[in-house]
Amino acid sequence: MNFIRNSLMGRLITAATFWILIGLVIAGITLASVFRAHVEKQLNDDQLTHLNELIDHTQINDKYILELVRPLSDPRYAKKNSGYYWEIQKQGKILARSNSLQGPVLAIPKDDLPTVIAHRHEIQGPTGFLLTTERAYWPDPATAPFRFIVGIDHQHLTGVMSHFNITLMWALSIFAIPMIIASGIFILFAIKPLNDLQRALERVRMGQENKLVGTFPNEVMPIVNDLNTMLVTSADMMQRARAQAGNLAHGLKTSLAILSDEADQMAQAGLKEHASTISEQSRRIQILIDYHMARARAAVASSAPGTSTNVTDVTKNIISALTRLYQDRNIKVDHEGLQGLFVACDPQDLNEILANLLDNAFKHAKSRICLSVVENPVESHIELIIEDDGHGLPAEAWEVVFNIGERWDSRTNGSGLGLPIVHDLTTLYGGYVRLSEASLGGLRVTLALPSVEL
Amino acid sequence: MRVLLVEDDDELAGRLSHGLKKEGFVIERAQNGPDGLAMGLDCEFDVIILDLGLPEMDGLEILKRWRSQKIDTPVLVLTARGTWTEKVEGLNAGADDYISKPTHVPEVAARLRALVRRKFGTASPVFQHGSLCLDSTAGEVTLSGERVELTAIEIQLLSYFMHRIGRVVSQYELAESIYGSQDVRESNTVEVYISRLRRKLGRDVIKTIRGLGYKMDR
Repeated sequence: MNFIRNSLMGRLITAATFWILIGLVIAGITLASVFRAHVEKQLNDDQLTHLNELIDHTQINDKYILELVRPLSDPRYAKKNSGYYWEIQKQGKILARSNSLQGPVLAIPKDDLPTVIAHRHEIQGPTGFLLTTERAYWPDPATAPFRFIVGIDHQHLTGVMSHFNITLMWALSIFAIPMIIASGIFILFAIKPLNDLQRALERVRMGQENKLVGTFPNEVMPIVNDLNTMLVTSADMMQRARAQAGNLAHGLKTSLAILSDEADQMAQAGLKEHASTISEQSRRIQILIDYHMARARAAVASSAPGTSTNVTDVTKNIISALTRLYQDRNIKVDHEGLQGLFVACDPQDLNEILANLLDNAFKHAKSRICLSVVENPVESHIELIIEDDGHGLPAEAWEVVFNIGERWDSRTNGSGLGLPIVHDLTTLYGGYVRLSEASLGGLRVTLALPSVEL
Repeated sequence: MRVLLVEDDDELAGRLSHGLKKEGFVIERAQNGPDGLAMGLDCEFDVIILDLGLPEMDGLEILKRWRSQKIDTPVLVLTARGTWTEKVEGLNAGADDYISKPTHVPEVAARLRALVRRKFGTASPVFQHGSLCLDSTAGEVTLSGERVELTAIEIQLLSYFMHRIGRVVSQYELAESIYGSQDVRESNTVEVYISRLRRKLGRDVIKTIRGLGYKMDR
C-alpha cells in the first residue's frame, strides 16, 4: 500500500490496471449480452425453420385426419430426451410428437395472439425449461385448430452461453495481462523524464555534477532551469560569503599582527607581564578566527550540492608542497594506492583536512610515510590511512588531541588547532577521523569521507 | 643578511622591518607586486619575505615569475588567511616556507635564518670554521672556545662570510648586505669593519683579494 501511496508510478499503474479491469468487465458483459441475443435469435430462427418443416411434412386429408409424410431432417428430434421436441395438438390432445419427446402433453398456455402467426412460449418441458414456438393451422373453421409446437430445451442456450462466457473470460483475461503490462511500460516511458530528473538531482547531491545535466521534455525543462538557477545562485552566495569571511579574517589578522608586535616591543621595554597577556590573548583570538573560519566555510560547503574533489590530485599537491617544505628531512612518501578517488568534499576543506594530517606526519616521521585506501568500510565512504614511522602517540592521547588548543607534544611547532579542525570538518561532511598505532611504529590516522563515483 | 620584504600594509611592514633590523637583518621593502617582482629579479637578496595578498600583482604570480627566471633565493611566504590551500599553492609555486599572520618578529627571524642556512647547505644555526664558531640564532661568536664580543654589524659581516666560505665577496656586496641598496655607504666603511673583525678574530680569518674583494678560506 505504501508503494501505491508514495509512488507516482505506483498510483498510475494501479489506476491504469483498475480502469483496464473495469473496461474489460464492461466489455465482457456487453459481449455476453450481444452473444446471448444472437444465440437466442439463432435458436428462434432454427425453431421457426423446424416448425415450417414440420407443417410442410404434415398432410391433412379430406376428413381432417393428420398424417406425417416424413420425419424432420434434424436427427436430434429422433433421439430420446435430446432437448429438441415437436408436438402437434388438437383440443389439448396429442395428435403426433417427436420420438425425442416423452411424458405428458406440452402445456402451451392459451393466448390472444392470432393463431396463424408463429409465436413463442416458455414452458416446463420433460427435461427442463423449454423454449417453444407454436403456430396454429385451421383447415376447417368449424372445428378446433391443429397446434404445431416445436421446442428446444433451455439447457442448450445455457450451455452455449456458459461455454462462450468461459471462453470470453479467458480471452479477456489473456488480453488484460498484456494491456496492463503495456500500460506499465507506457507509464514508465511517460515518467522517465522524472526519473532522469531524480538521477540528475542525485548526481548533484552526490557531488558528481554541480548542476542538473540531461535532456528533458518541454514540460520538465522549466523546473530543471529553475533548479539550475537556484544552484548557481546558491554557489555564488557561498563564494561571496566565503570571500567576505576571508576578508574579515585578513583584516583582523593584520591588526592582530600589529598588536603582537606591540606586545613584543612592550616585552623588550620591560613590561613582560602586560606583553604576555596581550600576546596570549592575540594567540587565542587567532586560534578562534582560524577555527571558526574553517568551521563556517565547511558548514556552508558541506551543504552545497555538487561538491566533489579528486583525492589523488589534492594529496599529490600537498605531498609535493610538504616534501619541499621538509626537504632536508629526506622523508619517503608511499602513495601509490591513491588512484581515481573522489570524495564529496569541498576542495579547500579536503586540502585543510589532508594537509593538517600530512603535515603532522611529516613533522613526526623519521623517514617514511605510507598512504593507503580502504573502499566502502561503511556504505559509500572511503577510508584514507596515513601511517608514519615516528614515535606515535600514546592511546590516552588519541581522543584528547582533537580538543581545541590541545598539544600533546609541545616540542614541535603548531597551534593545537590542526586536528580539531580536521575532526570538525570531517564530521560536518559525514565522515570520521580516528587515531591508532601504525604498523610502521608511529601514528596511524584513519580518515573516512563520503565517496563519489563518477 | 639582506632581506627583501614584499608587503603592502605600511604599518605591518614598518613593524616587521623595525623588528628584523634589530635582529641584524638588512631590510629592503617593496610596497606592491610589480615593485617586488622587479626588485627580486634585479637585486640579489639572501632571502625574501613575500605577502601573498598583494595589490596589482598576486604574490603567487610574482613567485612563479621569479622561479621561471631562475631566481632561487629562498622565499618565506606570508599567508593572511592561513589556509592550507594558500600554503600548498605557495610551496608548489616555489616558496621554501610559510608563516601565517599575525607574525612574531622572533619567529620570522628564526625562519629566515633557517632558510638561509638551508640554502647554504647547513641545517644547524651554529657555523664552525676552524676554531671560529658563530651561533647565528644567539648572535654569539667564540674563538678557540673563548667568547668574542662583536657588534651587530660585525656579526652580520662575519655571518655573510661564513655563509660563503671560499667565495670572493666584493666590497659593494658587503656594503649592501650591511646597509641595503638604498643606503650604501662609502666603501671604506666596510674596510673599517673588516679590520675590526681581523683585530678581534685574527688577521688570517678574512683575506684581501686585491682588486676583487675579500674571502674566507676553506
